[in-house]
Amino acid sequence: MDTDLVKRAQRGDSEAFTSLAVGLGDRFLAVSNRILGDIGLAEDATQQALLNIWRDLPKLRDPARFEAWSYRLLVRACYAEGHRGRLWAPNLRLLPVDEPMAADPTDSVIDRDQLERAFRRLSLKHRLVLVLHHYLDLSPDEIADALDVPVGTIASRMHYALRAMRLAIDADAAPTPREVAR
Amino acid sequence: MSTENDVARSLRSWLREERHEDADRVLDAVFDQVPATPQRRSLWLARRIPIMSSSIRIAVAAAVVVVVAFVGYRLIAGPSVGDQSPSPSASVAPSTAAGPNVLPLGSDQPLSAGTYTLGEAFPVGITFELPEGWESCSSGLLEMGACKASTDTEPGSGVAFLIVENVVADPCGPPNVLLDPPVGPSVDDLVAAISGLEGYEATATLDINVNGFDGKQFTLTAPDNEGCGATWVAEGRTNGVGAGEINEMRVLDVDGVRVVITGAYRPETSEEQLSAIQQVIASVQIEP
Repeated sequence: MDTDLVKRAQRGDSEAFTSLAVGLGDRFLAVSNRILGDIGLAEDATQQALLNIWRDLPKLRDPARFEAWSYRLLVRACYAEGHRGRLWAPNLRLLPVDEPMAADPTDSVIDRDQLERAFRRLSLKHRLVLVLHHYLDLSPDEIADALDVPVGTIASRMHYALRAMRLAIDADAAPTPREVAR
Repeated sequence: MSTENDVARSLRSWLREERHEDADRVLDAVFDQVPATPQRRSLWLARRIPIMSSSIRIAVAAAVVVVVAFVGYRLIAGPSVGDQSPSPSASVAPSTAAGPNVLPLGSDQPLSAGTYTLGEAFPVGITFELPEGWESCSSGLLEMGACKASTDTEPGSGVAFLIVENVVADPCGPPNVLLDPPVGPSVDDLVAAISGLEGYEATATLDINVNGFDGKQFTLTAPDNEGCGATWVAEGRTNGVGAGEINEMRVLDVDGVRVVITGAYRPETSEEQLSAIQQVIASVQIEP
């Protein structure tokens, strides 16, 4: 990230902010869509996060930490939209199942729909750490920095999130009593 | 039966599927809103949210003209002994036996240690002592302040002197929606209005007396919510006590003029800096 751009935007240079926002926009939308599972909520979260970045940039003490700080604001916006979405729609919409699928050798191990259902059952904070780690490739240290929590908390959340997903997938895959009776 | 490694591999693959997200529409909406979205400084002292009405703007402009004329006269007449007109690049010099320095308008001007006064335009005569390392953060004739800039290890903090006119209706809502009818004229009216700001925490008030002038003292803590920040209006501008900030508030009645003196800091402010703020406030001397 160009720290000169960050410094200029901190001083109110809207053109510098435009450059920063263009660089973040698609990535923010992709991350928030994966966390929230709803493109409408993801767009709202991305928009709010970018506006908050503009508004609060002067408070950022170290421009070199812009990226981690910007993820923190995105995460906050996702929390806000996630809670709003839960109020409006108790049953989270699943992502469309007709998305193009990349060929993946692990597909034979875990059914894609089971995976998606298990992911959607996770709490928001568990989805957050998984997306930041497995989609953005952030290390636990970087996630801890972005979320402003101890790195041990991140490791714990990742562990419990994956375990919860595995249990949900196994339960999903287990035959129902009717299937056993046959 | 799957393992957690299987889950992690599959999850990584699924998360990385192309989903054709395009943020253009979002970016357009953001760029439309940026011009109407004021930036927030680390302290409310440093930058204001401008919602100045035209009548107040005219009044302030007139006051500025008076001050400029006064300064011009002083320049033509020549500096008096102890006159410390600051230059943009130099610190305001220490006070001399001839009198205190006038706290300059504007932000970021280094201030040397010494005795300062708020100048002729402020309706109450106030002097105070500043230690080394502070800078100006006055954004108006009725919003004078001295701040300690933030560093990598210390958040910004400061002391300000204000004439507050009104209070916002909702500190987490639009900054230009104010109490209607406006807050009443007494110290108690203003303390009640500020203490009652939704989402803000205010301690119980203490009765105080500074140089013979009665008032109230309390501590106001803003919620750690980036959407909150606008609190009161001084000189036609809405000020924001930013997210998570703490303000040690003193509201005084100085012969009918309601003066607000506040020390602003954050929870992570060091004990040393807190002590410095308290010393500045304790040094305040008031003459109507």
